[in-house]
Amino acid sequence: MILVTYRLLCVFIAAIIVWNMFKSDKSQEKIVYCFLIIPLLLRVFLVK
Amino acid sequence: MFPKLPLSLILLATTLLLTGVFGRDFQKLHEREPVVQGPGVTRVGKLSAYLPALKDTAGDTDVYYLEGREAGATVFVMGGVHANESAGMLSAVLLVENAIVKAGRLIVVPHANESSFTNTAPSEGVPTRFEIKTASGTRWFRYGDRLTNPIDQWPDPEVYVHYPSGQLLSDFEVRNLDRSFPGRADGNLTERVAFALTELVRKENADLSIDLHEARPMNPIVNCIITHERAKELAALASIDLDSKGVQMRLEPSPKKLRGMSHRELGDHTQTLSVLMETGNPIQDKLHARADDALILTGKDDFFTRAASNGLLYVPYLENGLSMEERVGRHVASIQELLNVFADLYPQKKIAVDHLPSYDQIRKQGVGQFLLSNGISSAPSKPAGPAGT
Repeated sequence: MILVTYRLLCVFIAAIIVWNMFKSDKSQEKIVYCFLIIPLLLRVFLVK
Repeated sequence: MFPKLPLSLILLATTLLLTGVFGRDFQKLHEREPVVQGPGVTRVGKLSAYLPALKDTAGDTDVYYLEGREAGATVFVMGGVHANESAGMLSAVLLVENAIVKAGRLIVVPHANESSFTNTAPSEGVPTRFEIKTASGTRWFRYGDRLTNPIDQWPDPEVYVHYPSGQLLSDFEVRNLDRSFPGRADGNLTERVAFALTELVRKENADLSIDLHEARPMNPIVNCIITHERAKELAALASIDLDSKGVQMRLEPSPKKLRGMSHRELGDHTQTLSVLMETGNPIQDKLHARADDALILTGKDDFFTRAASNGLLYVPYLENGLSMEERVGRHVASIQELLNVFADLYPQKKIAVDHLPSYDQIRKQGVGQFLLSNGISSAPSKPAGPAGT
């Protein structure tokens, strides 16, 4: 149960980051958002 | 609303691509190295046979049975309880690929905590694999962590309460197989693995259980046989015999108040005589410089040379390092000696195992000489046998 909650949280945070990336006008910020998504996606897919 | 949409999409696609690339690296950690069935292997089973709940989980692992034609004692050997103690795992593999049992039987589990081979310790920068050259090719082996992969068992509790003693340990020890014996059938993954191993010992009536480990050279519990009190005589005689052959393996009593370790719990909860052996492995210590596969194989590091010259190590450390040959040779020689002494002490329970390379042979010819490749031994002294893959 706690693992499911954790994955849902990761999906939620990843979605917020993607949303912010699309909203941002600054290229540098977009790149930083990209880096932030990677570990979350690895967790969503249960790879790490 | 999204003025830079194309750039965002390109970056998102790049991110997904990078996630795939990194993810593949992590997935590779789950690939199991091949273990070749030697001529002495009569059957291969799964640990889940002793606890069906383990089937198809990250805790299931291969169990190799080497049965002699003559009935006798059962000896259980396990490596890979801690996946960062490579000589233990490799010695168990060497047994599977070389030993021929004439009387009694050997049961060998080279990767006792399979899950711990699928991750490495955070922030240590250690390699995930190492390679050993054999005469007919290169074999690869995983280098893992001391603990079960958190992807298989998470989260850790605030305090780990050992079952059944109630002893309190640090949070992460909940994923340490050698703090989880005797385990429980409905516990967490590490406890279930411990329970299945204990069941194996119990159901197969193992007379002797040998757990192969490694330790930090700055840890005083190194190059030693840790023994349960019922195995004290056996271990003491083996230690003396080894000493007379130039292989120093000190005797350490299994502490009665430190629970969860195989030498204590298997001895207390089953009929087996239980021992655990430790050799010195520099990559496990904090003193080393770069942690690469060369350090796993040679144990050579300038900081250790300096530490040794200042008397800070508990193992003899020469400029040549503490090679895999030295460590595996020490384990295999100790196993052979324990079997010899067991046969002397309990003549009614026969155990006779042939074709184990000696300490000097492994040190001089290398571990690779005694690893099989495609079912063919590269060891010149090895007899022809019905080797399979």
